[in-house]
Amino acid sequence: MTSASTRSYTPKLDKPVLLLVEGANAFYFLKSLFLSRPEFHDIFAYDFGSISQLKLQMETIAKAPSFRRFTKAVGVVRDAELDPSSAIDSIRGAYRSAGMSEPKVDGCVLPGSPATGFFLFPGNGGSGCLENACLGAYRNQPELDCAKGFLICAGRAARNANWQAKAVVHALIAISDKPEMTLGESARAGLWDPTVPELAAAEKFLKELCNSAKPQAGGELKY
Amino acid sequence: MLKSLSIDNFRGIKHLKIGNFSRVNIFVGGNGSGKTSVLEALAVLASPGDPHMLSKLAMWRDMGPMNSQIDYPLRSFFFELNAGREITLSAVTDAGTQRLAITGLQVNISQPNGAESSLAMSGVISQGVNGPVSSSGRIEESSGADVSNLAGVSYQFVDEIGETATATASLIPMGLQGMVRTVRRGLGVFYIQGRRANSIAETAEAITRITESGDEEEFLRIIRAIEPRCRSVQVGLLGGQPILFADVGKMKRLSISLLGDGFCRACLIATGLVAAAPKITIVDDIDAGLHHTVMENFWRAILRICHRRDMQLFCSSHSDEMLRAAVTALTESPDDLKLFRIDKSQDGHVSAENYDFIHAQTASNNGIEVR
Repeated sequence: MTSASTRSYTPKLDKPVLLLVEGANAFYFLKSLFLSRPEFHDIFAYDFGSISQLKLQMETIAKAPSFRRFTKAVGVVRDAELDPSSAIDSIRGAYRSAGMSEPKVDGCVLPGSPATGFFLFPGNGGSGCLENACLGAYRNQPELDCAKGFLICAGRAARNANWQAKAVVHALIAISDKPEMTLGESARAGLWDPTVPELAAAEKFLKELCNSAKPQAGGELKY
Repeated sequence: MLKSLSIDNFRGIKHLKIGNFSRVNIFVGGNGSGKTSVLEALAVLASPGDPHMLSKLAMWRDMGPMNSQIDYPLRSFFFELNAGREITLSAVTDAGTQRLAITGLQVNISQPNGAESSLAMSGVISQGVNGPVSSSGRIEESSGADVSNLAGVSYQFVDEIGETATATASLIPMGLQGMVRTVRRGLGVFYIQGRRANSIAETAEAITRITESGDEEEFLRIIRAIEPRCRSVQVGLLGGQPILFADVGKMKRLSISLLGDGFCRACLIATGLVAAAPKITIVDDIDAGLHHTVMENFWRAILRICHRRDMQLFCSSHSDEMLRAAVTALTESPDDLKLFRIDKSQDGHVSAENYDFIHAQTASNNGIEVR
């Protein structure tokens, strides 16, 4: 796995599944919560930075010799933001521009060479961001209510939903044992429950992507 | 300006088309992918009918001697060593399309009906084992079958306005001898082979021409990209042999051989660009001998002279640092850079992946594999 912010060498795309992840937060979050598991060993995760970079980086990656040699499935993970259909359009456009099949609009993995698919936080089914998924996965409800109340108290409750979700998540991290943690580090520290529906959907997507890269990939999950 | 190149049946390349050339064109790829073959094809096309180019290319590949007894180095220019397959090199330039066809010439040693020994050609002009033969030769078109006894090659060059010129070159005991007829001047090329660090006599002669034409500053600008202290490079004689001295601010002038491989190679490249002033300069392994700290300045100096003299550079590299330096140096003139990765598939098919500046820069900035 590699991150744009930490890369100092040329990564070799030598695994069958390439997962393009938007930003370091989502990258380390997925790494901590899921990608370190043996069942996801086939995934090479790559932080493409901001969404404006996705098309160009996907085009460039698709030219890499090791991509052609090894990659059987390509997935994109990003936030749905306020307009999920616009987010989907940007992803499908990037795939098209890189000469790959455009995944279905429902996010299911499209078999092909390579197979393609995407997952939009919070749960591949509406607007929002990674932090919304985290809020659904927070284990201590009274603390969550308290953090939400903090925004009201600070007079910031009128800001948009994405901003509020990010602010509440950082308020929750701030009251943890290690308030200096990043979102990715907080996932490793166990702040978020990976079994809630939003995160379970992300895990399901990763499994589906891995299955699609297997030589005899079928419709049913093999995990 | 050369815009695209098409190669058929040359070295290990059955067919390859590469397009969208720019001012600076860098070829990357794995060992044995065909980078050098592409550069060689370009050199042959840019000097149509010049048998010395084939001889030099074979020599730089360490192919051993090429003569009437040993045809292997000449045969090696043909795909799968089959000299019965015509080599075709064509290029699109600003003025139109150029096409060079190279055909193997064969000695026919069969003597049906006890007739006089004759020469059967796969090309258009008769040629004997020991040199040109005129009317006694018999002309035969190539059927694509291998040429068993390669006696030489014939060239047919068609320029942008459709004028055709022909030439032949024969393998003689001393090498490959040209019998140039009416070959039109090609694009003009200066080729620097990868392992060729320096040829003092050649460089000395070129520096003499540079001094004569008053182009020293242009020459030194490239040298200073490697050695900023260099004030001059001068030609001398030592024991009757030419020697090159550089003034790098020391008490005494130093032989350039003492200044390292990078300096010597920069001298060779600079003399090629300034003295030979070809339309096309080809440098195999351009990073050879260069330290990463000088690469950016080196590219800037090369780009400047390419612009001033309306030249194109075609080079190969194995160095990530050299590619990054090129991207950085050419950031302000992105249209001047093209990057091509040459790939050879397991079944031997050669292809080229084209990177324009924005993709080369994206790869460079994000550590995405290119080579």
